[in-house]
Amino acid sequence: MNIAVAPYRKAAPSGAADSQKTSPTNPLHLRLEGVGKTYVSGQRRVEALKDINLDIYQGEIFGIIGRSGAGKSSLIRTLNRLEDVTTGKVLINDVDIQSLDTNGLVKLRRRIGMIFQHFNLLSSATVFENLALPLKAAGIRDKQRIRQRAQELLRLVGLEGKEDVYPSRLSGGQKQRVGIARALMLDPEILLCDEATSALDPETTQSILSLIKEINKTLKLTVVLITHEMSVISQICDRVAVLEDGALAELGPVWRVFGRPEHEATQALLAPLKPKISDDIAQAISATPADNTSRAIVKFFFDGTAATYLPLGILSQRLGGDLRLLQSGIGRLQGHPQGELLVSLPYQQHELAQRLETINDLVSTVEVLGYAVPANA
Amino acid sequence: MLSQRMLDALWQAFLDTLYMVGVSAAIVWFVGIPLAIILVTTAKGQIFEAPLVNRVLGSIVNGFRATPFIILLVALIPLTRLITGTTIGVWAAVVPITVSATPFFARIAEVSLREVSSGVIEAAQAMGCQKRHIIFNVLLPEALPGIIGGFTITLVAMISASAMAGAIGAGGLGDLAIRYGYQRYDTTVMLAVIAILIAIVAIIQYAGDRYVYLLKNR
Repeated sequence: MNIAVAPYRKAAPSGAADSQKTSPTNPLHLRLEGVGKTYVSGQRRVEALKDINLDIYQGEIFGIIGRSGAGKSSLIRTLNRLEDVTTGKVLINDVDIQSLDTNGLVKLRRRIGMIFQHFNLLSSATVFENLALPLKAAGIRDKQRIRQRAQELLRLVGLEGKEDVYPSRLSGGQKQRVGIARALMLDPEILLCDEATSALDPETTQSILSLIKEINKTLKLTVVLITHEMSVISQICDRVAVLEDGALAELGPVWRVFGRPEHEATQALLAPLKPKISDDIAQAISATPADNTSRAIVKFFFDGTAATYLPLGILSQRLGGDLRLLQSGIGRLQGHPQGELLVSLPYQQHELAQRLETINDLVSTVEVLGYAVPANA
Repeated sequence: MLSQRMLDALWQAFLDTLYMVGVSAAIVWFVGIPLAIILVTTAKGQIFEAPLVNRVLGSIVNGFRATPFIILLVALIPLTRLITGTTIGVWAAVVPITVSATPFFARIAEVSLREVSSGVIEAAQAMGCQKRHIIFNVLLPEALPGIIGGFTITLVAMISASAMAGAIGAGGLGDLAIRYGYQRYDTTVMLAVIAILIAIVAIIQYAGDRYVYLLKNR
């Protein structure tokens, strides 16, 4: 019943939006070389990270995703040495951060802002005092300057006039905005986001994500974020790394990983985003055609490698013109349309497989799900 | 009713008690908090991790806390003489009261400090705070409500200890209650002392609770 699962083999298209943004033409910013992290507690050794190799370029939003316990928290913490690596190296601007002494490390951390799932604001301090802390810690005593900088950033994150409010009076989204402002106080070059939206409702998540994206653009920051939600990755990331069991399972531009997930872990993470075939169609499908008037139910999958558009007219022509759309789940990621189309076409014995062969260059995979009577499909 | 002489004696005893507890409290605050900070920050995984220091200091604190105050009172007599040159009077009472209350307060403050979320400390580290910044700008302010609450409890315990110190001639309200109320069967004095003690404790507890409430509800 499953006919012709054609592996897609077309060359990558030219001028896709992502290729300017994440190509290695941007200078290298962070590099992980064979990074490993082992926690030892008594007799037990837990290998949280295994031989991670990653390059992150300046100005990109790089996402790290994995199921809980996959090691993403450990990974992001090695980037500002909240965790020391057990093996391997973390290079930032070609400097091995393991080689830094206490002073050097403190200076490095001032160039890296970080925001957290639970915001981690001082509850005993006002918004202004929270924002002032990184500057005070950096030895800046000039009250006027601190206040000015705090006001600048509160304006940027949309919280003007909240200087003297205590965090307990703020909503989750507002707290995260304060967290972002605090992370940016020292004008860092890297922003680390540790599950920054996982404690927020969907609407607030949207606004925080767009704020992060805006900051990435206007301040030309390199952003590294970890999350367990694929939707976060699809909305703002340029490239994504999938972690599974402490190892790098998959790495690539977001559209590529979404369009053709190769690792089982990636597929599992993507599963909730996949459209389900609606019940009425699923019920109407039978394994064999009832008679010659039956229609074949076919699923086309576009992995996004193809082009900037899907040539539906040509597709329909080659299949004989009588194409009915039953359900569609096409999205667009970084300029690549991708997803599934569920269509029906007339069933003609012996001809179906042949016909479907003719569209191999247009569709990534073709799957015949079954047959239904014309009234239902 | 109480005679004028008795009233004067009560007033003097009240002042003595305030004096004893006040001086002790100041010492307990300024010694207890650093002690608590050392106990917290030298623990495993903390910013000044030093298991040996932590264990030794913890044992000393526990040792003092395990010793009943009335025994401490007597056992510390040589130390008291060394420091104050006398073993009776208000000043002599300050030594045992302080020695017994400091470890008590340090442990309470330690609990409050330990409850400061590790995420907040991590955030401070991530923004490039040095250890002293973490202690003074993060740990202490965040733990302050708990520390104040603990100090209130400590103060009340110190007042009760000061009354006990009266037994070895420390002066103050406890001394008065024992000499007149117990030894001379003067129930009126006894009741007056109890009333004053209740009032002091109530005021301290109210002030402490109020302050904690204000800190927590900003």
